[in-house]
Amino acid sequence: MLELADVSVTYGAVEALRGVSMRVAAGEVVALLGANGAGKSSLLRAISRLVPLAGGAINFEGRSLARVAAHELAGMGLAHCPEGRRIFPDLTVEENLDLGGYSVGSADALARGRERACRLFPVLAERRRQKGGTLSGGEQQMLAVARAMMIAPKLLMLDEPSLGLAPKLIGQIFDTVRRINREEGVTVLLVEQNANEALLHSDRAYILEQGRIVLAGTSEELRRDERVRKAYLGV
Amino acid sequence: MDTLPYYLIQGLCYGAIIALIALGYSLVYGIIKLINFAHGEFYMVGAYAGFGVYALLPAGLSPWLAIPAVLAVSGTAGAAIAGGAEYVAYRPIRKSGRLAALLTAIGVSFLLQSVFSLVKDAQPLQYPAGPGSVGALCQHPVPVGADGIMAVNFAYVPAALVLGLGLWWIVMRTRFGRAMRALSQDPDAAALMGVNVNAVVRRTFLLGGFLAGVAGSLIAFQNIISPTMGFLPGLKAFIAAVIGGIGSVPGALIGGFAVGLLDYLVVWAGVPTGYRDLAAFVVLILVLVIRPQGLLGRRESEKV
Repeated sequence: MLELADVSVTYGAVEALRGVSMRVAAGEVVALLGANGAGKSSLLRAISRLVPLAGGAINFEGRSLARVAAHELAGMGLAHCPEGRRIFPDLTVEENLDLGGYSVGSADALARGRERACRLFPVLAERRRQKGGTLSGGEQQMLAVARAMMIAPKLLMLDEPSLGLAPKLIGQIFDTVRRINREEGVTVLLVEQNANEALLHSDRAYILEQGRIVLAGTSEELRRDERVRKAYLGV
Repeated sequence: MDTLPYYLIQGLCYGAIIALIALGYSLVYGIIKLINFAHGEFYMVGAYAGFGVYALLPAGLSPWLAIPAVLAVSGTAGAAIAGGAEYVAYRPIRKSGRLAALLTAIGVSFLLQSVFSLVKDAQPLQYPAGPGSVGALCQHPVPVGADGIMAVNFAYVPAALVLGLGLWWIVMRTRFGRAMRALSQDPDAAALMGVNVNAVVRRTFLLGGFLAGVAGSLIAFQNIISPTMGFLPGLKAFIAAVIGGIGSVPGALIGGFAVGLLDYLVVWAGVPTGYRDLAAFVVLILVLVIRPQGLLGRRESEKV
């Protein structure tokens, strides 16, 4: 579904990504792990066309993204739930959701999207008319995921959905990611610092260090890998 | 004392024009944080375009038909010049910081003033006021107390309210308006939702330019047209937008009326006319000191 070949990204003189190659197949949950500053968010932003490539190629469903603009991706079925939630604080929950479905043509599809959002996160239905900025951190994260789900994406990219959440909510978010994958049939690319949870809830994983993929494998293999256990799992 | 109604009405009417200009100022600032100092020039271009098309209309045409035609052309011209400026000047430097954008805007302002100075060697133009003409209809005095107010003034407040509320409806109730508000809060996140940022910015300029262009002809029906006519109203509209809370549609309307009223009330209060323009700037400074976010604006917090 998604293929990256030798992707490089630079910010001025700083190399954020150096020759990253990876793939995500349909139906998978793939985790991308790494420390702060390893380049995880840059990778998602490169896929979403928010930062230009210094080299390499990205294909989504066999189509090169080289000439695709950021705003066209939603229409192609690629949703990106960015780091730090980035909900629109002055828009109501409902307006936030409607923006998530901005590229959806029909009112019908929009209504179905809202239904799906409220099925995944019932609390959003209660908060419908509240401004996004007045929600709690956990609710904002739910809104961010629900907003990305409005287009019924083929591929959902989640950037640190567990960041800053209470342990109980972290479990809930990862369960929802699983449900989105199994029940809605959405392929997921999950960026996380929380390697423990991410490896438990994914099929495969890549580990990024200083802009390079240093390890790749099934999540089960990586959970047993000595280096991973030391560096990322804290055991 | 009995001259107060005259000054109040004049102030409100002038305020309506300022409000029409301020709406575009505010809208553009709201979405891309650009203080578009060329916005007053869109108003000037609207006035010239309206006058140009008036000259092409058949001589005996009823003013009731000529006026809507002139206004439509001015609005379209204002929109076209605003859209052109956005595409040629502002888009290429949108990511280069606010100072570059501000300097570019001042450059666009000078450029438009210079180009329109070539029209009739910068001599002021005026609608003819012969019997049965647009000028005669618009400048017909309506008695207010011992003074007279030109008839066209009474169209200003309704025009500003209808266009301003229409704009508010667009911003608050339509898909496009929702995209504008999302873009103003977080352009990257809006793009991820599928909002075409360039298209929304362009359409915002078109809307703001349209309102300024219409205002240009509304004024021109009773006043002279010159290449620098947009300078002072543009500045006052900027002040109005700041007073009302820049980025806020109702704020721009309220700010416009406030600045217009202020302008005439200081004259009524006996301030020499040479100093009347000072009042708006004094209020601007007071607002910036006491309530920098304006009446209806939100306090801006720097993102960490």
